This record gives sequence, structure tokens and C-alpha cells, in this order.
Amino acid sequence: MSIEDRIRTLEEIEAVRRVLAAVGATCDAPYDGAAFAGHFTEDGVMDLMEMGVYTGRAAIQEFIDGMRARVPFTMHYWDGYAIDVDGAEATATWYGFETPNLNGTAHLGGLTHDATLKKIEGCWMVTRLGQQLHFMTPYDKGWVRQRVTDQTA
Amino acid sequence: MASLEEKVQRLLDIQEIRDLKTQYAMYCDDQYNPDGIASLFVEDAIWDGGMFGHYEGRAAIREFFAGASDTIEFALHLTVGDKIEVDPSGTTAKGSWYIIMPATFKGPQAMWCAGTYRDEYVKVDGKWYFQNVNANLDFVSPYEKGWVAEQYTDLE
Repeated sequence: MSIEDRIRTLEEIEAVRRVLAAVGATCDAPYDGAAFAGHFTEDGVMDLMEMGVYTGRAAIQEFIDGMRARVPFTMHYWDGYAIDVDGAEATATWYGFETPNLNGTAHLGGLTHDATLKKIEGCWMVTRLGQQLHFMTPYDKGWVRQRVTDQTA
Repeated sequence: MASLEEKVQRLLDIQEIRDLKTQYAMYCDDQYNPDGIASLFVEDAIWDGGMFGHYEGRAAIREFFAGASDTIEFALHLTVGDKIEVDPSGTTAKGSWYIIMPATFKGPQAMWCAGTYRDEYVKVDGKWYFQNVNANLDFVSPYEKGWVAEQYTDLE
């Protein structure tokens, strides 16, 4: 690979990091479903496993906006990125740590994420975002006593 | 169109800004080392920590941190999730970060502090410094209560 191509790859890895950081910030309370969905391709998929699979920007936006009523506060600590760029396509995995208020109780969430992205007209767009939930536990109980609280109830 | 050299410099700038923030966090963990922290800010910098105060100028920032350990005896500044944008001029930049901080406040009282940073950076003589640090605190809560029962503790 030429020096130019290697530098371009490093630039694209940084660009993907910035996009994923923006995606994470838009699903912090108070949630911006339109901004969140705007990072996806028109036919993008969000696979939250036990929380459902949402296909297309409209469905993704509706789900994220719906979180506002169920989860009045949360923060998404996303880091530990592993990003591979191959031309106009990219894959990424990373860790997530969350601090939501669920049912009036402080919770801790531990997750991993994965995504595929495509560069369209100079912008990296998410084609698929996945989530693996490892625990979503009431803060005062911990992940051994109660591993997962239902976030969609 | 940026030259190859300019592109490499921008990548180095991003990494140097990450290193600047990490050094800031490490000085904060080091009993809020006031001289170390002050050395990371330009002369006319601003540090705004919400409920922890607003300080203008390197000397005022140094003075604030010299007394910070009177309130916060121990803290780990886990600073993650950066989003760094370097201006095309290569001399200024903006960055956002998340922080979650287990801490011991005077008492002693175990605490969780969490929030986001909005920073501005400036490059002087080839080195990056903080121009503005704005820490927005989402909770400062006693460990036993958590952030829903008590989002912000009274610092008095």
C-alpha cells in the first residue's frame, strides 16, 4: 500500500471515530431521534437483539424518540474502538457503558457494539449498528443479583 | 487539497490533543497538581466547571486547583469518547469528551461524578494547550444513593 493510501486509511479511521462519537451523543438524554437516524443510510438497520431490530431511518428515529418517555436520563460512554477501513466501507467494534434512570432507579449498563459503515458522497453513514447487552442492572443491586432490567417496558 | 505533510500533521495534532487531555486527567488524579495543570493552559485560558466554578486566566486556574484537594481527596478521571476536530489552519481545535469519575469527597464520602467536556485548544510554538475547558456535570452523587435519588450533592 502506498504512503498516500496508508495516510488516507488513518484519516478515514479518525473520520469514522468522529461519526460514531456523534451517534453516541445523539442517543444521550434527551435523545435526538432525527439526528441519530440521520447518521444511518436510508435502509440502515439497528439490531438491538432483545430490544428489537429496526430497519430504515423512520423506524430507527421512532424508536430513539420513544426512549425519551421511558428513560429520562442516560449517558453513553463509548470507547475502545477497533476500526477497519477498506476503501469506502468500514467496520467497527467498541465498548459501551451507560448510566440510565430506568423506572426511577439508577442503573449501570455494560455493552459491546458493532457497526458497518459506507462512505457516501464524502460522509460515513451507518449501514448497520449492533448491540450486545451484557448487563443493565439496578445500581443498588449489581449485575449478579439482577443482570438485566427491561428497558422497553 | 491538503498536502501529504499537512494530512500527517493533522493526524499528529489529533493524537497530541488526546495526549494533552490524558495528561490533564493524570495531573487531576495526582491530587490536582496545580503547577502541572496550569502548564497545560495558555495564559488567557478559561476553565468552567459549573458547580465547581469559573476561572479565567492561568493563574486563577492554578489557584483553584491548588485548593481542589481540600474538597476532593481522591479521584480517577476516566475520560473517554473523544470527538476532535482540528481547524484547517492547524492552529486551533475543538474536542468533546465524556468523563466518569469515582471520587472521595471530604468527609470522607465516596462519590460518582459524571459529565461531558467541551474543550477548545490552541497550538503555540508547535505545542497544543487548552484555551477553554467547559465541564458540564450531569451528576455529582453520593455512592450510596446513586444519581437518580440525588443527582447533585450539596458541596457546602
